[in-house]
Amino acid sequence: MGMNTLHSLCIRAARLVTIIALVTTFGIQTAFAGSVTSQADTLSDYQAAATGVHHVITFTTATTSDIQRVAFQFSTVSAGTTKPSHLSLSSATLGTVSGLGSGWSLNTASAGDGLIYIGRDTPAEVTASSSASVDLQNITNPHIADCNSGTINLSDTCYVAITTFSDDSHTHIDSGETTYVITEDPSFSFQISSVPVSQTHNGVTTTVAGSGTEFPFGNMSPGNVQYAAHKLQITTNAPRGYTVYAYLNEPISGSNPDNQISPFGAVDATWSTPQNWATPSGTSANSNSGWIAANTSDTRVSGWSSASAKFGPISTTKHAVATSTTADRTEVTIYVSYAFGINAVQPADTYSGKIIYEVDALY
Amino acid sequence: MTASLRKVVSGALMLSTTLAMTGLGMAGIAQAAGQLNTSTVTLSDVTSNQTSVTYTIAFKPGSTTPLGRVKFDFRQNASTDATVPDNFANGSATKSAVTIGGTGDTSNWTLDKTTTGTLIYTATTDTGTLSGSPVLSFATANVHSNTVSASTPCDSVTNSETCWVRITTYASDNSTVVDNGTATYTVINTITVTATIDPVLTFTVAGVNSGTTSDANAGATSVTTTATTIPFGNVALGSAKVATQDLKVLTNANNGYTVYNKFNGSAPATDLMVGTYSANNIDPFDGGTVGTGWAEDGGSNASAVWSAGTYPNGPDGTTRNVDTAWLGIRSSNANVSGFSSANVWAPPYVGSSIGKKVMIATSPDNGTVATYVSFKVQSNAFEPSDQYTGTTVYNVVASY
Repeated sequence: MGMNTLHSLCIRAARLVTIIALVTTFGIQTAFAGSVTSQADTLSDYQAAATGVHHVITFTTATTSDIQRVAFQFSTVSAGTTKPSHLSLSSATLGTVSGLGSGWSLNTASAGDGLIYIGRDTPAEVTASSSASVDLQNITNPHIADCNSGTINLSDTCYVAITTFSDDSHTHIDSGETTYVITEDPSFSFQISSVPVSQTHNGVTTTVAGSGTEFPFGNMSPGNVQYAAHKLQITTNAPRGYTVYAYLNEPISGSNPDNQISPFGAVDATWSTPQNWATPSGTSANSNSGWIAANTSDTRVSGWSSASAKFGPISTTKHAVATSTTADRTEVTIYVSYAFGINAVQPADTYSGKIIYEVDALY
Repeated sequence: MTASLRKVVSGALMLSTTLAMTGLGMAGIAQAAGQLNTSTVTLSDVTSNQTSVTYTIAFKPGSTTPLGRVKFDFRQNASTDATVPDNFANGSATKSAVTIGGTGDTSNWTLDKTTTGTLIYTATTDTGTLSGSPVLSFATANVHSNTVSASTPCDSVTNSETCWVRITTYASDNSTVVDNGTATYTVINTITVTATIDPVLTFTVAGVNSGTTSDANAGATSVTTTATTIPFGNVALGSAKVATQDLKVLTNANNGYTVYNKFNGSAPATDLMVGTYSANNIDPFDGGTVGTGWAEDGGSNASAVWSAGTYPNGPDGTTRNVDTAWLGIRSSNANVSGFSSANVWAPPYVGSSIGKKVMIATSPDNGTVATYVSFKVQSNAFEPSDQYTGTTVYNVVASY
């Protein structure tokens, strides 16, 4: 028998062995594959994006078999292989393993695909109904919507598949799946701050500097209009968004309570149909002889998608100055500019009023 | 792990999924307490530190499980501890309204307010199965809202305070948690708007051309005036002349203004208009029996009709310089009493006081409507021929 012949026979023998092995493997799968039970993934911290988290994965074996490897596939959906995008397994370390014998180490080579496993050099038998526990540490949690991207709640259910193998690659024994729920506390940050003089936002240039608690329009004479603005900074994870309303608790009035400033009343001006500023048109005192108006830079507010330098009336009626139908997880800055103008018949007086912002978040 | 192993895992998972669908593998999928959704907290007054605020908390349940109890915990944080927002108090809280799916259910619930920061509603009869994800709304009145604080905060924001309400629903046994949820509410410091509108007053006197009927009750003007002159010119015997000035006031004086008129001098009988020969003068109009003087002086009929007189319908004096020539004044301003009838005139004031009212407004005036002040002069045969002059003054007094 020549070398070539021997080599050919070896190859044929190897193919036969392979075929036999595959058949055998299939046979093992068919004969012994079972479903783990009581599987669970208990996290040390369920907060989205939390770092250094322990995932203690527990399950009960179904089959008495040698086990050399246990794989954990983290995925976005049931039976999936797509890792939640913000889940980080690459720095995972192995804590305590119990119920599976000893000699385990962690392999994170495929962590980028959401797959990590524990393995050992030599398979060892684990009896059926063994309660196993694997503590996977130093994991970074997914973010909300990494898994259930179509939902808008402050929780997200992600999946972990568990598979035991009798060898180091192909021969799986038991499998199962469990879930873990990432949660996020509601948050809403609403900051009101002043805008310096001579700043222009949405076409309105401030003529007086406000503060977070005061708009001192100062001394005014007939025909005069003054502009001031607030900077609103909003960050929230409210999944259904929010609306910020602005309104007056009562009309702006003078020390003589009969003296009042009217809501901006230029032709066709409503909150949803803002108009350019105009001098108050009233010819009788306290009836459209002084106007208070506002402009918002939030183009999401109805009527304000393109409203540079335009104004709508401000009154005791609540008007939306900022709104979102989804979470604004990245800070949104909205400028609300106010105009205060008078004509000749607005009585001389010292006027004051209060602007109120109301925040309605929808979780 | 190799790609082939991932395929095996995936295949195994598919098998597991199949088994799960047949009821063999679902036991391991943990079922947590449900989560409320569409939760909102609405305050009747978002101003911080108010004593009688109604908090309305609404949400949709996460399951259809009948509820027997709902608990609201007002907290400085979403989940970490049980600190109640600063100054928040519910000791005086009262049940306001409860609705289930928009239907009133207030009387079915009792409110426990004994713990600061916690409101517990307990149903006499549970809600029944909550099909269709109805909105549950609980309104509680007379709650003392918290303060805005950057030092002991719900948040670190200066002018507003966003705090949390943790919502827990319980089954009809009042102890088994059904759903959890957390929502936020924001109280604020109000923003004070201030402005001072400075007083403004502009008084304008303009002339009126000859032949103009600005004030129908005065008649057409005989001469042209300017802002500073009323040149009657030559006055023929028995022929009256009328001159008018146009007065406008722009002011934002809250209570309006009064314009007074007077002639310089101390004695009406000698100083109103004086000739070059100082003994000659023109007297203030004296309507005699018809008029009793300015209304502001208490006259029942403010002014007199010019027609009183003997020659012809004019000054009735027969001794020179004593009612042998008259100068009258009138105003078109409706707020000045006594001049609403035709040809009604009053004697101009001469003296040390401020004068007589010829223009009145009780509120701010944008200066677009004029008041016409007219003067009428006439002499009879006994008035010496001479050139007469006088000086009239307007005085504006605003009332803020």
